[in-house]
Amino acid sequence: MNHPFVLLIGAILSIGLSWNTLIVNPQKHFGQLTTQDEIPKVLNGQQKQGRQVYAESGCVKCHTQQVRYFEQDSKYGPRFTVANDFAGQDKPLLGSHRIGPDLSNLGNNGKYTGGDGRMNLYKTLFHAKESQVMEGSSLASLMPRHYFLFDKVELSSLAPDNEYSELARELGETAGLEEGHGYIPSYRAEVLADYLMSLKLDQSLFVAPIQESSEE
Amino acid sequence: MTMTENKSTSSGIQPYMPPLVLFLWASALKWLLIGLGVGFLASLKMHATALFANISFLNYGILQEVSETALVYGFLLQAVFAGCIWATAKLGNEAPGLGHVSSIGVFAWNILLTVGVIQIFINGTYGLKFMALSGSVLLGLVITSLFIVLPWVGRLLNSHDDNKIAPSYLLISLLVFPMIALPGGHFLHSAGITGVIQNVISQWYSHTLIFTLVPLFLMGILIFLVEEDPTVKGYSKSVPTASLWCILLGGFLGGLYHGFPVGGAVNALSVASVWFPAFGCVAIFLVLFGLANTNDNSHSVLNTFGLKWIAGGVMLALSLNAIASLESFAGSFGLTTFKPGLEQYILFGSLLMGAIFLIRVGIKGDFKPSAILCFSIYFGSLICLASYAIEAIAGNASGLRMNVAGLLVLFIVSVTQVLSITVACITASLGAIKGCCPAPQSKSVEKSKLANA
Ligand code: HEC
Repeated sequence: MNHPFVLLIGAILSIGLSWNTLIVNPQKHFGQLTTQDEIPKVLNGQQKQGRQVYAESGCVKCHTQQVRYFEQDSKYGPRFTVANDFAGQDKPLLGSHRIGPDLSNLGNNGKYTGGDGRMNLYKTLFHAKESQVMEGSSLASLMPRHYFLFDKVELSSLAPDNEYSELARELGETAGLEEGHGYIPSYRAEVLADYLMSLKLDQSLFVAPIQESSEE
Repeated sequence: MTMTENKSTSSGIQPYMPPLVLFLWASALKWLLIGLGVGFLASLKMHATALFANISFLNYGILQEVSETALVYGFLLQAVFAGCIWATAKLGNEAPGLGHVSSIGVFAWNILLTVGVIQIFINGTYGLKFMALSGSVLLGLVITSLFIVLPWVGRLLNSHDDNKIAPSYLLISLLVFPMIALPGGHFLHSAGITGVIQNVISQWYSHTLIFTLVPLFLMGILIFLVEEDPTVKGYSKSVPTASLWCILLGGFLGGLYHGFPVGGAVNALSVASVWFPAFGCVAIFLVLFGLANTNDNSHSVLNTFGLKWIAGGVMLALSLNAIASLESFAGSFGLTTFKPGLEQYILFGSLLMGAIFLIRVGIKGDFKPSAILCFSIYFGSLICLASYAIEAIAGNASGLRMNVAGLLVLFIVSVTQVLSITVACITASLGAIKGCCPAPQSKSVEKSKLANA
């Protein structure tokens, strides 16, 4: 072989160069971010568990949590995401492709906030029937149903004032269960919903100010 | 002179597939089938959203992640090892058996990977590309890969063939995985790094595996075939050398895209570097095609249909990747299924074709895989690619992520992919089984050739 050691050293150097440029260098800038800096997200205990459920349920393979600076992305949030948004998180759930919509700003989505918001979120997770993202379309949604995040119950066993009794009946119907049976969100679905509602991009950052015009 | 001798002398390659290489191929094909099967289930879930809805570990994300892991660690890396070892063994006139120390590595690799896949079923995925395996399994894979590659790295370093470029390509191809997986795995899992840098590591790592390792490997094998072909004359060494450095210097820098949340110069540099491997490949293929057209020997490696397809396929994929990285396209192509589509195109279209091609060479000593087979695989891959592009463009033009075109396209993609690849797999495995009993005359040919030399 011709000059094998030149080649080996060259390969090691080029890997080292890329490592230094792509990883060490940004780490110097962003690795030291602390809560003193502008960090929008600090999760509480339940939300952390919900994040774990998000990983176990594979949501990240269809949903991103990154808003890029392109026009196409402006519908997903009032500003683009920057490294600060993920500071201190272990394995940020950026995602690498979008089969469903971006979820960075889901916590500010009118559909899921307010009175019925939480129940709407459970319905979407259980079975996103028609595509809601495509307005005016009657296509079925591509989002898989997540029955495994819900517990099957007998409706009669629920206390009359149970917050889920209405939802349970409706989900039971959706899934085609026989009369008198239904589904209620399991603990995993509840913490997942807590986590999803914590996703907000409403803090204006110096490096990524909120664009007034793109507010809905 | 018998037929076999005729063929071997015209191609310069002895028809013989060493058991160690066959072991690697068989393992690679096994994981290819697993990866495709699981991937097919995943894509079914898009059409039948209630499928397995009660079973938490059969959710779309996990199935997709397991499929990608099986394809990358099971198929791609083992196929690359097999090809490199095959060529290195040929260079040194060796026929490594199953008793070779590398076999221990292959065996351990497959066990570890199985453990890793089971862990994904249990723990789910954070979407770090190609890095869903746990830290300890990844470290284990790095160690076993050393068993597999180091004996052959040693042979390449000690060979005194100063006139050949192929050994340089083979050497780097063998070493890329341990060289990137060790630091990547360490910093991701045990160095206490948090935040978006973890995503940078996985982008860097996955980009290197697909867009640097695969071109290096395929071009290494092409150049190997050229250099082993005694009919090739007037072949310039400087262009393949320049290409090698182009790919080395540029390839490793890629991975980040416009809008990736580290921003600034680093991002821009990483995006720009995608062009280096593309230029490297363009240069090298100009030379190869030039050779193919001036050489009037019909037995020449370069005049075969399969080889042209491989060459064209890699070049096409790398150039498309480079073009898609331009800012004007990035909004439309980034984060759509276009990029994974390209990766699969490289994986399946080129690597699989390369595998079949090599197995043919190993068994029959000739360079002519069936044209219909090549065509069907590439046709399948091209349809996939086109449909990914339609998805990317149509999806964005209407301001939607998914629309009728998108749905249709997903369906076509999954069906064509699975069909074309299954056909290819069956053919390749049938070939591999036949190759288990090497023709005894091939060894005597080898000896007589040695004696002549
Ligand atoms: C196969 C891909 C896929 C997977 C896996 C997936 N989703 Fe979805 N998701 C979609 C699609 C597609 C939509 C758009 C739904 C529609 O058509 O209205 C969507 C919509 C949503 C929405 C509504 C967004 C909005 O703006 O109204 C939420 C919330 C959501 N998904 C959460 C999740 C969670 C949590 C998980 C994991 C448990 C998950 N998704 C898994 C594809 C997926």
